[in-house]
Amino acid sequence: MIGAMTGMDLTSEAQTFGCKVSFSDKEAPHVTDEIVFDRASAESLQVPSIQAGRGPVFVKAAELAAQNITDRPTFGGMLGPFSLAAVLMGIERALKASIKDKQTVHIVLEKCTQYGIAYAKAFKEAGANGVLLAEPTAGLLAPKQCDEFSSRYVKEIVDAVQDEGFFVVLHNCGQTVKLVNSMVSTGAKGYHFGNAVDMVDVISQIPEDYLVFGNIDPARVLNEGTTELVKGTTKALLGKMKPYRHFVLSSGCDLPPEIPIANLESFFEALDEFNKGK
Amino acid sequence: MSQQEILEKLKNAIEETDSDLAAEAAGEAVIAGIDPLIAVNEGLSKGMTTISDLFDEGELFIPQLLLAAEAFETAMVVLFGDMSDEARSKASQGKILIHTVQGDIHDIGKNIVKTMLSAGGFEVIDLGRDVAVEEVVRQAKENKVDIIAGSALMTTTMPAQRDIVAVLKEEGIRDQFKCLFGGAPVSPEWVAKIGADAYAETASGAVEQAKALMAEIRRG
Repeated sequence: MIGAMTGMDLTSEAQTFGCKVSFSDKEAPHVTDEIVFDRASAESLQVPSIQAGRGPVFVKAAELAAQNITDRPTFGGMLGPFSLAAVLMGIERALKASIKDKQTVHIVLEKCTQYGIAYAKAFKEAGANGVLLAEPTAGLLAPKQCDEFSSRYVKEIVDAVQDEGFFVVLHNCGQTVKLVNSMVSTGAKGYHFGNAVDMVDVISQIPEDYLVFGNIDPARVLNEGTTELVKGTTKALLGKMKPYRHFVLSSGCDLPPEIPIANLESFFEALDEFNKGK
Repeated sequence: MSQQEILEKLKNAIEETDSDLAAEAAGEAVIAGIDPLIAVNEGLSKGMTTISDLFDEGELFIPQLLLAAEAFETAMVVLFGDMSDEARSKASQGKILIHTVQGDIHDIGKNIVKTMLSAGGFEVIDLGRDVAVEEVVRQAKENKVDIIAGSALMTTTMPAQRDIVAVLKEEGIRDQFKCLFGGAPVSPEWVAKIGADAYAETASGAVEQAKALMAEIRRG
């Protein structure tokens, strides 16, 4: 394992902004309402304090990880600006507004970015070596829209926190083959892809001085598959990635809670065996 | 305006993802006495096919698709506003119940599939998102649908698809409905494993599968 990332869920930031969240024992938490409906509610939306909500719990986890995991870098996790804006507005409203009412989306994005910069800085101050910034909803946008509604704001976060000791890894598990240039325009040091893409198609577009992570299918392979399927799929990916020195093996997205441990072991065995030339 | 011009306007309204234009053209179709089915098949659906093809080719993206769907649905309300449910059913390719499964609130894909199915000539009953298994089965019986279509976007909610098939079997009515499932973590293997009838990866794929299932039903 080359890095350790502390837990995140995709609702914490939205809840801090004022959305309601449903928690259950069996599922990831999910947001149950929307709080931005139009220009007026976008304008009156308040940027919460970084001390409010559950954010401080995640920052504390990153601090403990940084103190106790010293043999590899540790990362915090946070939601990207467009993905957060789409939760606050409701995803359909946000996507339609990205064509019909751009200004409203930008007003929300500026506030999400302001919070995101403060949150990323909190992870940095806690001692993390970087942050994974999850921006999957940008995968639904056209390339030019991705520039306008996501990458431009991600870049603001990157510019505010990234340095030699603190990396931003931009995650987008959507269909991103046409969005790679837009993603790289953020200047993040790492790019993390999901199983919706063929890694060759994306990594071949990214210069070698950036890290590229991906993309074993967390559901169909790691969760549902046999240990043999996990090993075979992982080795096949490693084989395809051999020419690319900036590749880092990873799952394509976060893992389902009920995933069989034997499958995770098989994933790491495949890496070990590959590195030993077996 | 001739019938042909109105049909062309309906098609253009969808291609330009313009709800106002779609409503205007649909109003003109009603005034001109154009059969709503012709307005759909020769107008709106042709526009939706253009949009769907461009989307499948990667030339159009979800935001445009959503606006096209909105324009389509807007025109449908105008065209079919006065028609009885019975008349609508008679005219349709088949009746489909669509939902996002219990515990799952991701409905953007489901909404797109719904519009594509309507554009494909199906009568679609949308139960929304996070719909309980029992409710799906109850509504399927009550509405006498041909196909139950369900989307699951999380590995933790996929089992609801299996439960739907199981409840249909328990009640001895499995053979009255075809089950068509999809969603990001769903696979053909999963659909086969739980004993459902068909899997679709994309919205246009769902329309093809639904048509194939209706052909099976008609063959008996």
